[in-house]
Amino acid sequence: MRIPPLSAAVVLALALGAISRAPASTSSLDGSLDELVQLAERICEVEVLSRESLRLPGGGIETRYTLATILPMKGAMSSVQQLRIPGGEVAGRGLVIPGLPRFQVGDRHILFLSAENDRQQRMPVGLDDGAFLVQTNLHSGEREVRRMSACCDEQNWSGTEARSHEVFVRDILERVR
Amino acid sequence: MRSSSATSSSECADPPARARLRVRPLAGRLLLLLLAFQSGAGLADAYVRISIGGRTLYWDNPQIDWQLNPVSFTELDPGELSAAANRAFAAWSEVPGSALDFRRLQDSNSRNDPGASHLIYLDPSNQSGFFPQGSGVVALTPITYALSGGRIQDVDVIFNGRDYAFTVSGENNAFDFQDVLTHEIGHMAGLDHSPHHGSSLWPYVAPGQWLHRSLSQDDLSGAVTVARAGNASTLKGRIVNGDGTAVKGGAVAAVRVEDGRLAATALSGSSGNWTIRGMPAGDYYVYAYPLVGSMTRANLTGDGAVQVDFGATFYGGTWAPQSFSLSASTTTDCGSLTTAAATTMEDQYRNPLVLAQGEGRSVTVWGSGFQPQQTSMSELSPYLSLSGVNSNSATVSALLQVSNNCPPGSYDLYLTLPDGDLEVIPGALEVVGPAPELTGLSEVAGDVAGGEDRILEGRNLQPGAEVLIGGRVASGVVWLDAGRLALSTPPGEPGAADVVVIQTDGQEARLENGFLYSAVPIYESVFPRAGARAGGTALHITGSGFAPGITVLFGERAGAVVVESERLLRVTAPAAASSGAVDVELRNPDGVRSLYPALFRYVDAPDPEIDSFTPGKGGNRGGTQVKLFGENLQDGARVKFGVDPLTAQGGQFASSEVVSAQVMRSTTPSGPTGTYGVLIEMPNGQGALAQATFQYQSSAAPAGGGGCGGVIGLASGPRPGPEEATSFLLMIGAWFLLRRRLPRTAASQARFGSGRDC
Repeated sequence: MRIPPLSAAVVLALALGAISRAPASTSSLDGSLDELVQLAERICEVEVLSRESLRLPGGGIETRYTLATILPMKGAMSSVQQLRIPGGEVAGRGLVIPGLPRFQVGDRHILFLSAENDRQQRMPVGLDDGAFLVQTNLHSGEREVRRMSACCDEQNWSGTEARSHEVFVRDILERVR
Repeated sequence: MRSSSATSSSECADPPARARLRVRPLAGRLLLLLLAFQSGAGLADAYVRISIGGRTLYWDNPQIDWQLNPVSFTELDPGELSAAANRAFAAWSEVPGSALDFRRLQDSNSRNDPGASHLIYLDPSNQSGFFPQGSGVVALTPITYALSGGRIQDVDVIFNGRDYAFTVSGENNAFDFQDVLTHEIGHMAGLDHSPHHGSSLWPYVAPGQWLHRSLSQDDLSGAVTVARAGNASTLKGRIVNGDGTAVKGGAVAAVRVEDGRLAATALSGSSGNWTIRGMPAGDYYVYAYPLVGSMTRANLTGDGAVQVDFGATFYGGTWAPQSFSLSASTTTDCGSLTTAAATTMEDQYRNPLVLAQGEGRSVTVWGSGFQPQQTSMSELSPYLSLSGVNSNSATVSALLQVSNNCPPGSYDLYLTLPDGDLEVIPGALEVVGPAPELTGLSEVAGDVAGGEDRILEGRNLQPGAEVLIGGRVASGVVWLDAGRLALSTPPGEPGAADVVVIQTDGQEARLENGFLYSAVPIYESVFPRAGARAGGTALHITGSGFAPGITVLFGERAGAVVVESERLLRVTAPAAASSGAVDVELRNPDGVRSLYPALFRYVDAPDPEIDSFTPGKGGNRGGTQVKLFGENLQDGARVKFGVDPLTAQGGQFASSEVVSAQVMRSTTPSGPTGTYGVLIEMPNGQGALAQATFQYQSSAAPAGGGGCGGVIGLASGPRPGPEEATSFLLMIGAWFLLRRRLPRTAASQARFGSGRDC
């Protein structure tokens, strides 16, 4: 899976008329966040309640996550929503798309989600670029956000990409408005 | 400076050599920033096999078929598309030591055929469902595998044609098809994303980027690991934390001592052990680093743990890296490396900086945790030099100079603090040879059949370069020197064609209209063979080798030409000063011509016309009486049925009678079922092809009547009855009135545009 730098994606999307607004910034986090916010149709903080993989009539496989909406930030959504993502394992067969994140039941995430396709599936914007894990820093007690990268092993919690949950959410909401 | 906690292994085959990591003094001024590294999204790992739930995905047969759906890429030249796909697969099929063998099957028009094998196609409207609006994904590779063991069952590569444009001709505002496909083929093989910026499996791509067309050593090692052919050399070792526990999922990289190029990367397992297979023999520096930055665990498909709370650490330490010797077909154990504590530095480097040999540029790394005037930038290559290093809390910058003889490949950058803290940017630099340039071919024209030897001249041409002419691959390309390639031209279409050279490092150069495919224009038939001296005769000329822009001369005067195809011209004859035969010359734009003496004859009489005929259909056994209406019909004129309406060739003459200069009668000969043209030919060679067509029907169907090849709906039959004759006369009268009231073309359209309702 190849992902364009989000700034390039936005420029191209603009050229193709996919969105109507130019990227505001191309620098560092702010630029990336601007672009994530622009491209995402739905932004929300969620908790993963359940996960189920199904084989679709056409032979494909999708995973359906039931998510509790903790904080809706962009787009309309209900307090409990279903997120359908291609891929998963069912009936002796697996489907994987390199780069597409997978979520664990009980985890809390901030997700930047694309529009829904005609199969009611959404994709995280830029795949793993559009999925952030929310965790509580065991040392400071503060909630922090990091990309799915440094997240997976609580023992290795002190990754270098953590940022303040409060600041991150505030930055998102400022851009949404 | 803090001492490195790295330890060397007594198990290494040779005593470790030591080298110093070159550190440049900080400069007092901030250099011009040429690079702005975006942050936010993540980065970094090594060649990694896709592993899910403990199952490593694999192919049970390294011979993997693939098919291209060229029709889906409607905007791309089919020839260049096909050649680019071949090159992308060839890169992975020709890896020394790897058994991977991608084999192309016949092209497919399928986008979702379960029976089709491993399709490469473009999805222009999100039919696949993988590209909903805002997905931000250029292309992807869904992999279906068996849960029992992880055997790969099916793989397709899908390009997002709804949101992005692709190119096979080097356009900077589109994504390079070959670059993207090369990446996706790595996934097809079972490889995950790589943290190495120069790797083809680096997860990010930008418009105009071609860097990942060629495989890095990291990719090559991955290909060997996925499908090993024979014995390959292996580096292995173990990385541990300061307390002796294993570093799980730590990244490890090997750098060639000889030139400082990044060779390969890998991830440690749960026990801290790491292995890099498929390495060329040589001496290597080895270091461990945490998978943080632009590429992270999120870029990996596998679900193993990745530890990031340690600092980048060289075997031998930051200031004196230890080297390890690796012989062919052997394994060198580098032993255990105790990693340093995590550094406060974090870079936001995302895409490798491409530099040409001999190039000097300012380099700026953005990030955090840097110490003003204390953080330094360095490298390990004798072919690179850094000067004027400057830093503040958010950037480290320096002037980088690449030597003229620097081997193409990936090179690291290292950021260091005085206490020895180390931040590694693996594969931060990609050095490429000088860009190729093309000046021309030894002969700029050649036959459409191809197979002609030419010398392609230019600069900076590399051995192994591929040449395309008109989108087709030239055969027998031989590198003579940096300024010349010998080749044999491929077949082509008449006219100008671009010449493209594509180097093994992915760079290409294009010579627009650099070659002219010549064909001798050959006449085979012409209708009519005579025309009015006043000009305006519509001719159909068939033959071969007609190039766009061809000129047709009648004596000294050129006719108006429409090139319908390489084999058909429609020509309007010019006026002539006098009657008589003239030579006809066919001259292609490249000057290749053929002359046909006295092929056309000018006459004083005006050209005949067929305005209409009726009925428009009849039995294929013939015998249908057809009445034709026109102008300037001469005694002795003949009617031909069953004519090819495009070329005016074929068909049979019918028995005909000229009633007047405006009316003819004819009885159709037999003919094959179908729709054909009708023409008249005068005794002097003048003639005209009717715009309407005549339909031969199966003899089982009633012959005559109801058809409307002409305009006036007379009932068919040997002779019209009194009522029919009256009707006919009334309609003739109406027709003449129309002729007077309407411009000629409009009148013609009004007559022939009515379909079945005559």
